[in-house]
Amino acid sequence: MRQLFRNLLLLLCSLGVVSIARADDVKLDISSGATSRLPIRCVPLTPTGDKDARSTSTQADQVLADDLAHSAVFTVARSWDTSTDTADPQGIVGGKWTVTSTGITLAGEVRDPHQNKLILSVTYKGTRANWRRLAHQFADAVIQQFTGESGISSTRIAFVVRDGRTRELWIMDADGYDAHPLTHDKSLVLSPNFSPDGSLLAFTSYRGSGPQLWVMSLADAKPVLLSGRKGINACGTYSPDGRNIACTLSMDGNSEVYVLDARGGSPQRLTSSRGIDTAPSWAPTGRQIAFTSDRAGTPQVYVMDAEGTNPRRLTYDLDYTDSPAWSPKGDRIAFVARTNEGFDIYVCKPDGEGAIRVVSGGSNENPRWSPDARHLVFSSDRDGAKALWITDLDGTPPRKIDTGGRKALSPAWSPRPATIAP
Amino acid sequence: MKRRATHARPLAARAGARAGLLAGVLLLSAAGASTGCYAPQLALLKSGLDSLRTQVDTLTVRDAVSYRVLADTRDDVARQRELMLSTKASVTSSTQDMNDLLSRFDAKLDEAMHLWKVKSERSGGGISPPVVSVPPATATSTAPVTTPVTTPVTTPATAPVTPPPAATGPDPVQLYDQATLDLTQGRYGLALQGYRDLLRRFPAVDLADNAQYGAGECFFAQVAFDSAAVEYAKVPASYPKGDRVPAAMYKLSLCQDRLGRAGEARKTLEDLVRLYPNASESQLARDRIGAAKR
Amino acid sequence: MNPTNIRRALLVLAVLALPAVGCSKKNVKMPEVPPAKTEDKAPVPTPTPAPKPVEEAKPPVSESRDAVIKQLRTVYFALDSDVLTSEAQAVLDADARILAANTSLSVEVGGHCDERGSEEYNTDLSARRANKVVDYLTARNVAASKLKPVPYGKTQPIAEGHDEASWSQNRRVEFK
Repeated sequence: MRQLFRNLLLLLCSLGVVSIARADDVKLDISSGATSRLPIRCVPLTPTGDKDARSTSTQADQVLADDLAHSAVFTVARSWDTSTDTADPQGIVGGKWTVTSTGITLAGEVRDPHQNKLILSVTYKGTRANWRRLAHQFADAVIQQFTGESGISSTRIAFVVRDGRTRELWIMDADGYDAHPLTHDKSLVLSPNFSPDGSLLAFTSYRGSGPQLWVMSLADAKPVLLSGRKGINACGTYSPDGRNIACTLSMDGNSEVYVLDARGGSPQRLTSSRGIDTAPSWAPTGRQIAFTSDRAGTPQVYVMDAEGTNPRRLTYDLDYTDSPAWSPKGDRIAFVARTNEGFDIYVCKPDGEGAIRVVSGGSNENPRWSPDARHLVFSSDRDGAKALWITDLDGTPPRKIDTGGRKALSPAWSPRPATIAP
Repeated sequence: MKRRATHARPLAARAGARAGLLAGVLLLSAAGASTGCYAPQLALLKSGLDSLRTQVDTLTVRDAVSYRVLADTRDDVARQRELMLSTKASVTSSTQDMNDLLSRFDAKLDEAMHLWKVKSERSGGGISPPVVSVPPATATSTAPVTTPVTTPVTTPATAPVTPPPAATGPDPVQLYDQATLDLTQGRYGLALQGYRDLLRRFPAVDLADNAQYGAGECFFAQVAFDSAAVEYAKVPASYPKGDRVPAAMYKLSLCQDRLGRAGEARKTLEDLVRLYPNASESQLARDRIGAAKR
Repeated sequence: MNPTNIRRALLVLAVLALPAVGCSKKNVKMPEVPPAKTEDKAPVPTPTPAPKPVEEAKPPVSESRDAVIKQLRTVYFALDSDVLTSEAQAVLDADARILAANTSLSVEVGGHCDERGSEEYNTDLSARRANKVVDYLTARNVAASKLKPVPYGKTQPIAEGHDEASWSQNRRVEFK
C-alpha cells in the first residue's frame, strides 16, 4: 500500500501536477494535466438503519463523487452512471451509511481493485443536519491516501454579493452549498481574507465612514473595526503566522502598502512611491509580499521583502498585471493580466519566469488559491453575469460555482480545516 | 458678503444727496406756509418745485449711471478673481500631474535600467567580469565584519589565480534561481547552501551581491539576527556597487536594532540615506529615523 | 399756503422719488432716510424695505441642500487617468462658484471608475480622482473641511453596459 502511494506520488510529480520544475525553460504544460488524473470508481454507499437512510445516502454518494472529481486528482467513474466509466480504476470507493435517531455514521472504504485489498478504512460520525460534512471528510481522506495531502472538500469560500448599489459579505462551502450572508449593512464590502486559522475574516467595508478595515469572527459574525484611518483602509491580509496584517492605507496622501499588528495598530509603511501601491499578498513563509503598483504608469505586480526592501517587478513580459496571489506552496504567483481580449489569469514562478495563461475569455478577476494550491477560484463574467468560477489549472475548463444566480465576486478561500459554521 | 461691502460707499453718498433734497423741500414749503395762499408765491413755489424735480431727476439718472458703472466694475473684478482662482486651481492640478509624470518617468527609467541589468546578468553574467578564485572564507566562516561601510574588505582582492574550469556543474544563474526558490519556499538550509555554493564558485559574478543578500535573508528568516547581520554587512563591504546594497544596509540596521544595538542601527540608517538618497530603502530608513525621533 | 397742501406735495414728491431710487438698486440694502431736521413732525413716509434685502442677501439658505447639490455638475476622466481635462476644470470652476455661495454646505466628493481592472486598484484610482477634485476646489478657496472625498471604485456604475459609451460615463467624480 505504501508502495502504491509512493508510485502514485511519483507519477503525479512527474506529470507536473506538483511542479518542481527547475530550469527556466521548463513550462508547466497545463493541457496535459487532465490526463494525469487517476481513474477511480465510486460505488454507492450501503444505507442501513433509519427509513431516511436511503435518500440521504444517495445524496452523499453524489457529494462524495463530486468532491473526488473536483479535487483535480481523480477521474471519477460513478457506478450508477455508466457514461462516466473509466478504464482501469486505481481504487474503489464505497462504504456504509448508517442513519439512527442519534445521528449518522459513515464507514468509508477504499479497495485496490487489482488485489481486492482494503487500502483505506475510516469512520466518521455526525448529526443528521451535518451529513454533508461526513462525505467531505471522507473525500479528503481518500485524496490524502493517494496524494499524501488532504483534500479541500471541507473548506469554504467567502465572497461578496453585489445587489444593485450595495454589496454584502457572504460565505459558502467550497462546493457552493450553504451560501448565506454575513453582513446586512446595505453598504459596500470589498476584499475579504481569512485569518490563517480560518476563524476570522478581515474585509473592507463602507459601513462606517468610507473604506475601513473590519474583522469578524465567523463564530458571531460581529464586525469589529481594525483600521479607520484617514482615507483608504483596504485589502487587509493576514500574514501566515497571523501576527500581522498587510493592507493599503492612504493616510499619508496616496495609497501605500503597510503592515499592521493583528489588532490594527503600529502601522509600518513598506512602500513610498508616488503612484498607487495596493493589493498585498504574502508569501507562505511570510518573508515576502507581492503587491500591485502603478509607479511605472500602468498597474504591475511587484515583489518585495516583508520589510519593504528590495522591490522588484514580477514580470516584464506583460503590460498590465494586477491582483497577485501567492500560492500556499510558495512556488507560484497567480495574477491578472490585461490583454487585448480582456482580463486573463496567469501563473508564474515567484521570480517572474515561466508565466503561463491559465484562464482567458471575458473579464476574469481576483484569483485566489485553494489551500492545496491545486485550484484557483476567481470571479468572471465569462458567461454573462459576474459569478465565481474554479479552475483546476490542468487545462480542463473552469467550472462555475452555483450561487443561486447572485452576482458574486471577490472570493477568498478558507484554509483547512474549515471552522464550524456559525 | 463681500458684495455688500462694495456697495457701502455709493449708498452712503446717495443717502446724503437725498437728505439734502428733502431738507430743501421742507424749507421751501415752510416759507410758503408762513405767508398764506397768494398766486405769485404759488407760482414761485411751483417753479421751485419744478427745478427741484429736474434736479431730482438728474440725480436719479446720475445715480443710475454711476450704479451701472459700479456694477460693471464689480463684475469685472469678479471675472478677474474668477479667472485668477481658476488659473490657480488649474496650475495646482497640472503641477500635480507633472510631478506624477516625472516620477513615473523616473520609475520607467529605473525599470528600464533594471531590465537591462537583469538581461545582461542572465545572458553573460558568468563570463564578463574577471572570474576570481578566492581562497574562500570557508563555507562555514562567519568572520564578523561589523563595520561594513568603513572597513575596506580585502578578500576579493587577493590575487586572481586560476579561473575555475568552465562548464562544470550548474551555471551561476541556475544556482541562484534554485537557492532563491528554496528561500521563497522556506527551505532556508538548502537556500543558504546554494548561495554559499554560488559565492564560493563564482565570487565575482554580477549576481554575487544578490546571493550574499540572500544568505542574510536565510538567517533573518530564522530569527538569527546576529548571523544575518554578519551576512548583510558583507554586501556593502564586498560589493559596494551591487544593487542590493541599500536593501542589505536597511536589513543590517533592523538586525542591529533587534540585537539591542540601537546606536549602530541608527548610524547604518544614516549612512544608507546619505549614500543612496534615491533608493526606496532610504525612504524606509527616513521613516524609521523619523519614528525613532518621535 | 395751507400746511395740508404742502404735506400733500411732500407726500407726492416722496412717493415719486422713492420708487425711482428704489428700482435702480436691486438686492441692496436701503439706507435709512434721515428724518428732516427742521420739521420733525412731518411724517416721512418711507416704506423702509430694510428687512427685505436681508433675506435677499443669502438666497441659498432658502434653497434646499438637494437643489444645490443638483446644480453641481459631474466631472469625467480619461481611462486610467486622474488628470483634470480643461472641460473638467471648466465644470469645476462652475461648481466652485456654487460651493462658494453655499459655504455652509458639506458635500461628499465621490470618485468612481469604470468596470475594468481590479476592485482594489480601482478603489485607489477613484480616490486619486476624488482627491484631485478636492485639491482643485480647495485651490479655488472652497473650504477643504466641507469636502469629503470617498473612493467608490467601480462599485457604483451609472451605466451598466460593457462598452466605451458606458465606461466613459462611469469614470467620474460626482457630488452628493
